[in-house]
Amino acid sequence: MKPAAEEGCPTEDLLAKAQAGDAEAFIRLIEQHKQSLYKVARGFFTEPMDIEDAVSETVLSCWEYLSQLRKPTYFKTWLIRVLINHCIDVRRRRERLVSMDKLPEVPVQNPDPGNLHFESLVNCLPPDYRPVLILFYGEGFSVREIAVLLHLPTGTVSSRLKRGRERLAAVLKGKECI
Amino acid sequence: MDLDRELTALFKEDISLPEPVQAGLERSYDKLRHRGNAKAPRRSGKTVRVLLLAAVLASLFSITAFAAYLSRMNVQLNQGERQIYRWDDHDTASNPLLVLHFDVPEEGNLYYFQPGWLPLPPDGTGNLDSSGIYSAWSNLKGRASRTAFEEGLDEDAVLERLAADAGLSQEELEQWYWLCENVPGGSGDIPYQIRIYSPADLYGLSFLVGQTGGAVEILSEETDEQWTCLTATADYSSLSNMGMDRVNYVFRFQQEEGYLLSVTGTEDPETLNKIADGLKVLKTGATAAFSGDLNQQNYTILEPGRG
Repeated sequence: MKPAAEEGCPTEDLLAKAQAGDAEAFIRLIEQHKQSLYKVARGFFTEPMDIEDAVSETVLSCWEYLSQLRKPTYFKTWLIRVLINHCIDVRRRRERLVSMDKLPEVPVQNPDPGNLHFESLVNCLPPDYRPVLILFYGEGFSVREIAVLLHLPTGTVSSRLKRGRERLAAVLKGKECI
Repeated sequence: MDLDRELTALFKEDISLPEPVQAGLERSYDKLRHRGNAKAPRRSGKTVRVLLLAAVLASLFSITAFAAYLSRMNVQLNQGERQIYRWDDHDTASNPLLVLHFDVPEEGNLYYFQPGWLPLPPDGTGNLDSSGIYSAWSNLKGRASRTAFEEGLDEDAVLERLAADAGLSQEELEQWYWLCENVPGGSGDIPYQIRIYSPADLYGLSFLVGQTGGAVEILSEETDEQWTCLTATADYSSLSNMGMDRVNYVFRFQQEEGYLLSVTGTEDPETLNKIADGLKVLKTGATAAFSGDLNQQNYTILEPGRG
């Protein structure tokens, strides 16, 4: 994947400062990527509390291990990777508390009016398809990279992408959902 | 506007974070400010691993572009034909495409491996337990836990049954792998990736090697009644967008059992073969059958190297 998020921004400088211990520089980096963090986490969860947990844990653990990131161009990929692992962790913790398959799907409560497009699209997708479509269209990852990020076979990612795309095509034609 | 563009625009649209999420971020920032300036991020301990695979012409991997690509390359494989590999007949002189296809049963035992020898990890410690080489999700236990989670099964019961089937203790489930990669820090380099494909993983699957225009060459090939061993290399030095000069491939296909050991990466072929020599294989009592859409599952692209 082309490390798109770093195009034309002073990530390298901020990263160097952050790796030297400058928390404000790291916060600026996170601010640059917070929408991506939210969108990817939203692919896993509908409850803002879960999204908040995953995003917050990601920020803290990335700060802790920031020195291990060697190439600034991969900062965003690294961030997303850590986030996905936290999402999986949070989901497992929730799973232990309550059997998720007994819970009805709850759309995000009162989404910001500016978020309606994104939220509507996500809500129209089956839960398993959401991270795939968000990573592919929203974050620019390839099928293979998504397979690695989500720990899924490439064929499964391709299949979900294809079916999700078909579902959204129908949605955009006004035939389903929304 | 075509659908892909429209979806990209919609998914990339700027949004506002819901208040609880933004508030959580602010709390994290406060914690960082308190910790941060007093203590720089730590430089040792557990590695947060980043798994990155090749950046091979991102558009190639979109469904439509990939289908178009396959059509252009005229790849045609006959299901069930006993054929280990062949060169694609399209333009083999300038753009050889190596296609590997394995004739295996649709159902079979599950196989896992343990590395016996690995090159020193980049941090030079040589300590396999702390080097960060192994990813938690790539071992037998991790895979089973995930399956249990995805299928809504009781994880403990699944692991207990798996341990019984495999003849292993619960702890030993963590010591056998289906995939491991050397992923140094966040560099995106993948010097080597080891993977074992059980028959159910391999059924109906074809590997495309060198599909991005790299010049592929078979370095050695040995076949006996048990094994087909193949070492190949792809030279990408003429391609500016690959970010790597060469990827090497070692394949060892166990014909009778129907599993495949694949060791690929930017390490030299001798090193990859040495890794393959040291692999120990576990045949578990657990079995799995191919499940999925063959049309979607039919091709996989092997390009480890740089993310």
